[in-house]
Amino acid sequence: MTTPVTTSGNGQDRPVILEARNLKKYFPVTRGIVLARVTGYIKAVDGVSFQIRAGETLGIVGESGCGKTTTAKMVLMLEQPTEGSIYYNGQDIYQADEAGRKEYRSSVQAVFQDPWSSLNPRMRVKDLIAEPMVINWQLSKPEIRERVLELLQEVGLSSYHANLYPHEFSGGQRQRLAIARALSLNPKIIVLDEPVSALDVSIRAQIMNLLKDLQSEYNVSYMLIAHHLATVRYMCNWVAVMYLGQVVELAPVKELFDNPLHPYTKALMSAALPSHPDTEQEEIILTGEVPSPLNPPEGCHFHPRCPFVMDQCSHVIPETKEITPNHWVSCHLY
Amino acid sequence: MAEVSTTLSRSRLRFPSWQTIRYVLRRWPVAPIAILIILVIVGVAAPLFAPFDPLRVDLPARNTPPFWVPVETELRTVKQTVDKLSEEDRLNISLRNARKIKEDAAVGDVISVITTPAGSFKHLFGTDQTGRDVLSRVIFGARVSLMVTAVSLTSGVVIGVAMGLIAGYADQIFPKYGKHLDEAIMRVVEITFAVPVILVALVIVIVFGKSFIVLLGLLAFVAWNAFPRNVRAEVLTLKTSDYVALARISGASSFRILFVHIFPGVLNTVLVIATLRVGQLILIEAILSFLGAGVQPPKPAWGAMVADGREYLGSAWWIAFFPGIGIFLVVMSLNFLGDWMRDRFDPRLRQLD
Amino acid sequence: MATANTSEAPVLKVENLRTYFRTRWGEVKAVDGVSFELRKGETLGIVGESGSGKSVTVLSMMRLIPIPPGRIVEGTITLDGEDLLQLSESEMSKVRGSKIALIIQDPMTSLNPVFTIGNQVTEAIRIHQDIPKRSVMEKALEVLRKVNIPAAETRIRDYPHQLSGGMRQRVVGAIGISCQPLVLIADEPTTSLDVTIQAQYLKLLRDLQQESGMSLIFITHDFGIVAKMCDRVAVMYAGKIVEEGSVRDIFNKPSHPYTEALLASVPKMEEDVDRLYAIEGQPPLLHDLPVGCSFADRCPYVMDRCREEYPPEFPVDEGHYSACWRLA
Repeated sequence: MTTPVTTSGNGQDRPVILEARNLKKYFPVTRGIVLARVTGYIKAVDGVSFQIRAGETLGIVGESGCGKTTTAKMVLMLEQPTEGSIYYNGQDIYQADEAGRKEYRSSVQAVFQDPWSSLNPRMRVKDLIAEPMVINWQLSKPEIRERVLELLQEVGLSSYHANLYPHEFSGGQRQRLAIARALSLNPKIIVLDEPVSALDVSIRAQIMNLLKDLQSEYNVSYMLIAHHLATVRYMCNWVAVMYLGQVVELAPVKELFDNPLHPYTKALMSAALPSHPDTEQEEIILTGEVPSPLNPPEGCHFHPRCPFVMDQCSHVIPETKEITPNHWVSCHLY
Repeated sequence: MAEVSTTLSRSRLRFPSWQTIRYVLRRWPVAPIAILIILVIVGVAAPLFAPFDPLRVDLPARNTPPFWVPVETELRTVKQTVDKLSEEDRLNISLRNARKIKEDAAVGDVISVITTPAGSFKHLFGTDQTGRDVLSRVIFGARVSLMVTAVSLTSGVVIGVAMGLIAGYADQIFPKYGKHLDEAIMRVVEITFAVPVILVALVIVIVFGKSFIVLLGLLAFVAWNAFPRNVRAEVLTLKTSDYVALARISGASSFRILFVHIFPGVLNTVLVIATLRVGQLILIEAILSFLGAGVQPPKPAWGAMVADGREYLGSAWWIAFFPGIGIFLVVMSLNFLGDWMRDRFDPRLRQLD
Repeated sequence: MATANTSEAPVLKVENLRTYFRTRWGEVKAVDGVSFELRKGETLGIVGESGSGKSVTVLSMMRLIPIPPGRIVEGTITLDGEDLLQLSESEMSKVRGSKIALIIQDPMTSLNPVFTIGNQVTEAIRIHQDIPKRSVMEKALEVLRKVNIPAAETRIRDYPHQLSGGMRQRVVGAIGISCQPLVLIADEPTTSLDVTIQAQYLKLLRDLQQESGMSLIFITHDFGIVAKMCDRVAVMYAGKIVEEGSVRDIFNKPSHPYTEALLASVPKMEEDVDRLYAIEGQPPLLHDLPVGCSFADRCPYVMDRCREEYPPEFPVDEGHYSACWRLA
């Protein structure tokens, strides 16, 4: 996918803060233990480009194995890309010096799906929230304590919570703790990996509203990994739909939901559960399952499941085209 | 609902009910902990508890049975001479010996003979073949066993846990050689599993001589190899946990992650294995002492005492019995405690009630 | 969607079911007086959050509650004219799987990893049906084809780990329907599946239902599944059904504040919502329920009476009940 270098279609021009260009991540598949040889590559992410703008949310949607989590890991510098680069404020972070990387690391934080495993069970809340500050900032103990209490308040918890251990909290409260920790360094970007899907339904709205409030307060950008389309619609400004390691469609959220172009996007939307029993839904039930990224189909990766498949789909890789301003699709139909 | 809660709150004020006691006994390893605490206290303060010097020989009082054993007598017919080796004379007694018991004994009389003297409260557990107080020796034996296991276990834990941490985490610190280092450590551990400990111990004792240091070294060797494998497994799971990923995202160094996030997480496992291991160490110490390769006489060690008493099992069973009970109680308590801790610390096994 | 015919006698009738658990905090009333009916060919959704008692209700119906610490205190569960709670354990195990079957949440753990798919399906068939050995295999193949397993003849020899998550869930479904149960209960059957696979699976369940006329119970926290699949809905909160009605009644006229709030707090794919309504607070702890209505602490319409007395069920419409004092 070529890089969509554009201005925002929403009327407001916000600066691009993070840009991924042609990111690839291949995991070698090896055989043998002593003299291992590489027999193939799992192309978890295969040429992904996107932009995140200051104070906006980019949603990344797709099914398991589509590479959205690996993409997030590369943004978080937990995985080194095989190819491609990530630019933060115009600077390639993988080419940056130690200081540049350190700065990047403290500007990009994360909140994960499972609030039970993302907090060290043996640390008190105050130490959990303070950890990023202890590592990155030279602050005195009272200063850190003050900031911890401030953050707790910010996420809707009280100061007495600071001395408790994570297991004393419910799932929703733990996710608030995780958010407080992610906020502690005043990051510019927070990667949200399915932040509400492990929570009870009545708690989800609380957390989503909190995230939105914090965004408008701190002007922080989110990269939201999700599979639930309604959540994406509620939270995001931009949406990238991924399938087998590639972005198949990228558009502003309203445009994407009103006018989905890629057959996979359409199928995803028709498969999503309705919000009312009388909702009219197009029934596009995809046959089969997502193929293995070890051996993705030739041509367009989606063609074996595509209801609109044409001859060329099975051997020509579709280019990414900007169909309408800011609406990018890679499909031979357009 | 209201009714239930009031009865509940009222019951808190009363003396714990039988159900509560049963519940506590079922949920907490009360008996093993009590036994271990008593043993540790007794062992540490052995001179305060032991009624006698464990090394004091008192030949006239030798082979005294435990306090509750009554005097044991047998009827014997007095004969002029007795052939000690012949079967038919087993219930006869020579005139000379009979006169020592009863002065007017004559050939043909039937007299009663004390075969075992009565136990006395002076020696609660009786005395051994040289008249040493068994109770005092068991108490001092606990002290020796405690010391031996404490020293060898500590060194074993330090070595074993360090090995496990290195094996599990090496690839984060040395990206190039980590995998190989891990591989090498685990192979060494597997080799040590295949070593027949007792046999090798005997050989080493023959080569290096019977010294306390050699014994400690041997036991440390036995102790360490249980740790690396389990610690490594734990490190491998913790390493990929979300909170470690978040620490890395926050810029934590590999060392910080290892010591702040991973090491505390393996401590539970280490504690459980250590508990289960103490029992084994005491057992091996006892076996080595029993075989003569462990703690050297006259120092009282349980294993050596069992070995000593073995010869007299038929006539003076208590010499081997009490130290044997000591070994049994400690090993059993530690195993129960270790099992309980494993269940307790493993969230997968934690149950609702 | 199947049409509910009100004239017929219900296939399943649960009355005043109470299941309590002994815990270290005292007795927990996981299910506290639950009643509902299910007609032939009807789909009922039981909606609730974790701890609402929806799964315990189902396990009680299957008589799969671990006793102790659990016990079914009272109630009747009438299936096909028989009270399941009066049956002996051996009679119950005949009913289980043949008249009432359960598909549980996790397809990874509900299949035994050491047996082939074929083994597990045929076992389920052989337990309940007196079929000659030879035709059991054919029957198993037929069931696997019914759940759209491609190349069932070869798949039947596979072990669970060789199948994808969606396929495994289908096999679990195949076991569930293998003996044509009257009632099939699906406990969060799709939470671990991807969206497109979930759609396939839901369609499959609906097709199977239409074909066999069985009744379905969906246990879920997701109103989307309810909207797509169900005829009637029972909303559970803290061990009790707080509202029950036809799916349209519930969606168009939610009468219990909890139902109303839940519906308002779910983002919608079809429209832009500026701000979601968020229910304050946490679900209550079952061992420490307030006197009166359990939802009172989180309810925007709370009145004095709510904190004193638990509300009875008030009729809203025909077949639509809600336990809220506002309707008194």
